[in-house]
Amino acid sequence: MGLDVPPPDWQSRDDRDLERLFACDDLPGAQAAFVELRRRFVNELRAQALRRCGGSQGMFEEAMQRLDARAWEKRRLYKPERGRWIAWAKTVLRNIIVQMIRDLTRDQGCGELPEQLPAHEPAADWRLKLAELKAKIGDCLRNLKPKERRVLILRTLKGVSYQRLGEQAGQPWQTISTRVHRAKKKLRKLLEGKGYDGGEL
Amino acid sequence: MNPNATPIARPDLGVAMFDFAAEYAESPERALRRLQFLLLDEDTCLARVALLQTLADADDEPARDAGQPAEAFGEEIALLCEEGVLAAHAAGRLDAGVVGRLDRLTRDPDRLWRAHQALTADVPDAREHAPPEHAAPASATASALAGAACSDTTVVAAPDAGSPEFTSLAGAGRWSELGKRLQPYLPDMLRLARLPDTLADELRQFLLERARAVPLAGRRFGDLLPQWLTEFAQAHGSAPARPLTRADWLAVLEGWSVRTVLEAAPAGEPDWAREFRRRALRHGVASGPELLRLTLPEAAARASALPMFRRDLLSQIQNERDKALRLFELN
Repeated sequence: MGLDVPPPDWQSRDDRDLERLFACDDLPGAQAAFVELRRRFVNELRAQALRRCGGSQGMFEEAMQRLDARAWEKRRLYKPERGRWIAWAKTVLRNIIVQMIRDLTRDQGCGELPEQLPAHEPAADWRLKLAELKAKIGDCLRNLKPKERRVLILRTLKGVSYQRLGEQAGQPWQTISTRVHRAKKKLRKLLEGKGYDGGEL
Repeated sequence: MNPNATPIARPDLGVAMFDFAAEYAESPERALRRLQFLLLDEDTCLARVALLQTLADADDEPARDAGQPAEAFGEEIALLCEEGVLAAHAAGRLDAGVVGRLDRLTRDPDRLWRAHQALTADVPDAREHAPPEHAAPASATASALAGAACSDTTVVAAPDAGSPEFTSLAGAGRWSELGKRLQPYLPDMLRLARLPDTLADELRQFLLERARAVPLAGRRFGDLLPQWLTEFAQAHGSAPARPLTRADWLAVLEGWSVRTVLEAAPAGEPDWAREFRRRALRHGVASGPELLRLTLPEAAARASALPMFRRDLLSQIQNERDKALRLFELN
C-alpha cells in the first residue's frame, strides 16, 4: 500500500481533525490522515494485537499488515461522528485476529465479520446474550436422553476422564467417548434448529 | 422469549463445546488456537459459559469438593494476557500442570468469563506491552515517524486521566500494578479500621489475595473493599464499630487528597504558605471545608496571596480526589 506521508506539521493536528480527514473523499488528505493516525496509535494497536494473538509473533505481524490494508479498504465504514478512530481500528484489528484464528483452526471459513464501531450499533449486553443462550441450551439439553446429559455433565463440566467414566460404567472408554461425541452432535443439531450455527465439533 | 427469534449471539458452537485436554493430546497447536479463539470471541465464550452453567444446573449429584475454595487461575490468566499461550507453547513452557489447569479453566464458567474479560480488555499503557515496531512502514519518512511514536508519550493517555480503575486491573490480572496503586491509600484504610500503619504491606497482600480468589462477577473492586477491610480488621482483632459504607470511603479519599496536596510543597514557596501547610497538617485537616475554616497565624493571615493560594490548594485537592474516585470507581 503506497501511502503519501504527511508533512511533519501534521503532527500538531488534533485527532478529531485527522479522523474527519480520514473519512473524507479527498484521497491524498485521507491517506495522510491515515498514516498520521496510525503513527499516533501504533503502540496501542500493536499491544492489543500481540495479546490477542496469544503472543504468536508470526500471527501478530500478519495481523498488523492486514490491519493497514483492511482499515484503508474499509475506511468508508468509519463515521467520525459516531466514535474515535482508535476504537474503530481496534474493532477492525479484533475481527482480523478472530478471523485469522478461525481460519487456522477450521477447514472452511464462515464469511467476514462485519466492521462496526462500538458506538455504531451497540452490541447486545452480554447478560442478555447469556440469558438467551442459557434458555435455549436448557431447552436443548432437556431433549437429550438422561444418559447423554449425564456424560456431558461428567466430561464437559467436571472433566472426568474417559477412562474413569468407562470404569464406572463398565464399558470401554471408546464407547464413552463416542457417547459424548454423539451427545454434543445432537445438542449442536438442536441448537442449529434454534438459529445457531458455525464451527465444527 | 420467542423460541423462533433470531439469536442475538453468534457463537462458534464447535469451539464452545470443544474439549481442550482431549484436543491438546492430539494437536497442541490446534487446541491452543481454539482456546485463544474461545477466549477472544465474546459470543463463543458466552455460549461455553451458558453450557457449563446449564449443565451445572442440571447436575443432580453435587461435586464432592463443593464448599472448597475454587481455583483462582491467576497464573493462567496472567499467562494468557502477558506472554500468551501460543508463545509459551513455542518456547516449550507449557508443561502438563499448566495444560491441566488451562483445561480446568475451560470448565469453570466464572473464571473462563473472567479470562475472556482480561484478554479482551484494552491495553491502557501500550509502552509496557508493545514490542518495538519493526514491520515495514509505508515509506522512509513514515518509518522515521513510527520510530518517533515509540518514545512519544502522547501516544497514550495522560498517566492519571487514562489510568485504569482497580476493577480493570484486577480483571486483567495486573496484580503488581494493582498493588502499587493501592499503596498510597493503605495508611488511611488502616486508620479507618483502627489498625497501625505498620500493617500496610500485610493489608496490601491480603487485598491482592482476595482480588485473585474472589470472582468480581459484575461487582466493582471498590464495592468489595469495605467488606475485605472489615475481614482484615477482624483478623487483627479490631473490627470497626459498624459495617463500613460508601461515605466512609469518600471520607478516606478526601482526607488522603488533602494530605497529599498539603505535603507536596514545591521548592521556593513563601514562608507563610509553608506555615499554612504545616498548620493544616498539624490540625489534621481532612476536607476542603475544614481547610477553608482553618484559622491562621497573623503573618499568614495578612498575606495578600492567601485567598488565591487557598483556592489553588482546593483545586488541587479536588483533582486528587477525582483521580482517587475514578480509581475506586466511586465517581
